[in-house]
Amino acid sequence: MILETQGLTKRFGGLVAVDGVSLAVRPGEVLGLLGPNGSGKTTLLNLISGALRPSGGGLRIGGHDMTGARPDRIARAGVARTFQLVRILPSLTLKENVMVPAAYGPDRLWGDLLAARVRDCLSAVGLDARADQSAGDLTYIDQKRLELARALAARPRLLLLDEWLAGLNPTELQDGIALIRKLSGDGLTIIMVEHIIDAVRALCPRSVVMNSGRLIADGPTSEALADRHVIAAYLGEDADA
Amino acid sequence: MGYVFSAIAFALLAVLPLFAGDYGTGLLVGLMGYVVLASAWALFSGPTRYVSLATVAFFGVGAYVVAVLNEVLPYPVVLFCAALTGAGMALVVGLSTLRLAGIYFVIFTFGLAELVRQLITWFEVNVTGTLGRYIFLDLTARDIYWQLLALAVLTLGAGWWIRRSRLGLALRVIGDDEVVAAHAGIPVARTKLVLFVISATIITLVGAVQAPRWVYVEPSIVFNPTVSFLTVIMALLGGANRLWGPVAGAVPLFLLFEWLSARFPDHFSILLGLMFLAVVYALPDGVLAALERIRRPSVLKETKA
Repeated sequence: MILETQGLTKRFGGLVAVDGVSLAVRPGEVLGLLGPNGSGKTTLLNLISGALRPSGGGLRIGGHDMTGARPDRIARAGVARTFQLVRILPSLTLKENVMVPAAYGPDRLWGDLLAARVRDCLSAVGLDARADQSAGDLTYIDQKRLELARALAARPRLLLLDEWLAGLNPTELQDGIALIRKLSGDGLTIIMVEHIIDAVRALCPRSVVMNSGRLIADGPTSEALADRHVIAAYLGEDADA
Repeated sequence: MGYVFSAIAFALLAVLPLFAGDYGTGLLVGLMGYVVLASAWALFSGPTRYVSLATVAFFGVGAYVVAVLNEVLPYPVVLFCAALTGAGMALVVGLSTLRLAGIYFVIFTFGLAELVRQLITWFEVNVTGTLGRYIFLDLTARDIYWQLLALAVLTLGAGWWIRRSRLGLALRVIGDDEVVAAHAGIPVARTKLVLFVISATIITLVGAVQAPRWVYVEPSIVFNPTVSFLTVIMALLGGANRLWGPVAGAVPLFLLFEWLSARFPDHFSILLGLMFLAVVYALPDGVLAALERIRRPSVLKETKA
């Protein structure tokens, strides 16, 4: 297993945002992480990436115990992510943005190898021609691309995408889906939080659904989406009546 | 090309006090002191944008270590002790405060300078029973100037090296977004701590090297908060994110303040405050960046023609 959580829990005061989530992800899987707004999806990603420390439960990455580890240690263990609200480094150039995880991530590249990795990752998202521009000048969509290129520059084993497809127009969405499919074809394990169900159906053979911090379904995407509890969670308790 | 130029410039600066009179050499000592202070301050605060007002806390401690030890130990050992004290203090302060962000860090560092001054005053009055101390070291103004010049070379060299290293990239990322920095694999807390300690150690050494100029030392003299503010304005005026920025800010401002404090001793603080506001409002990225912005359009026109 590349990722295993056992009873992972996060409390904020009285609120239990993630409530005893146990999840196992095999290498090469593309897992959809679904659920209504406020169901705890982003909090779960934050626990996996180390942005938040769990209040309870365990986290193993690549077979190593990473419970309570700092985000930089988890990143060096091969986990990369994008953020729900795009976070680029505005005062750096595109090239420098992408350099960071390649230089500080699992591979610690420098010099020619680093330059080659940066070129590869920028061209994978179609931004190679603008490598020396300032990241702060990019449009929203290009910022999303840059953020993905940056995540890929670490050459991660596990990629966490937090609504990376949100806000794209139909053409860009098709490009985005094709890009994720290619990454998956290269063997990358991906967990994607996504509200665009068509994209989830197209990309994720397996999905898990959260509601009020708990996992309420885990299985093949079509079955998970057809689950009675899932429909109730999205549409309200009366929907199945 | 740049190296040759820098080497010649430093060689000229080294022989300068041989031709400057006593007054000129005194001026050079003060000037070189601020060049090092502003450059060392910018090593940490430039890329990370953690505005520190603790400069005088370290500067004053450096001077005090010399005041306490100058008759007990040989001079190089005294300097070493000063550096060690500054580094130790920076380590403790850094560990406890670098998690603070923005304005809280600024206020804490300002408070720190006052705290250190009060602690030393209390200790001197209640334990040693003397408030003032004398420094009798056989060092001329020239000797002090040369030591400061060496420290300037060291500081700029460190800045040059950091810029080219992984560490420099990490610091700029931290300045932009600490969350992204951590998720890219950068050990954020440790990186900030290392730079804070390096910067504070150099600042402590400036205080130690300059101490013999005072001869008589007491807390209110060496812990003058103006030193912290001047350092910040100089670095910001020149541009704290550039290698030569703090130097470009320190030279004109030091000379200006020297003239102002002689000419308008009663209004000096007001003028200092106005300068501070003007720099922050008009030149947030520093004068070097502003010059580049002015020059760039003309470059474009030339290539078109």
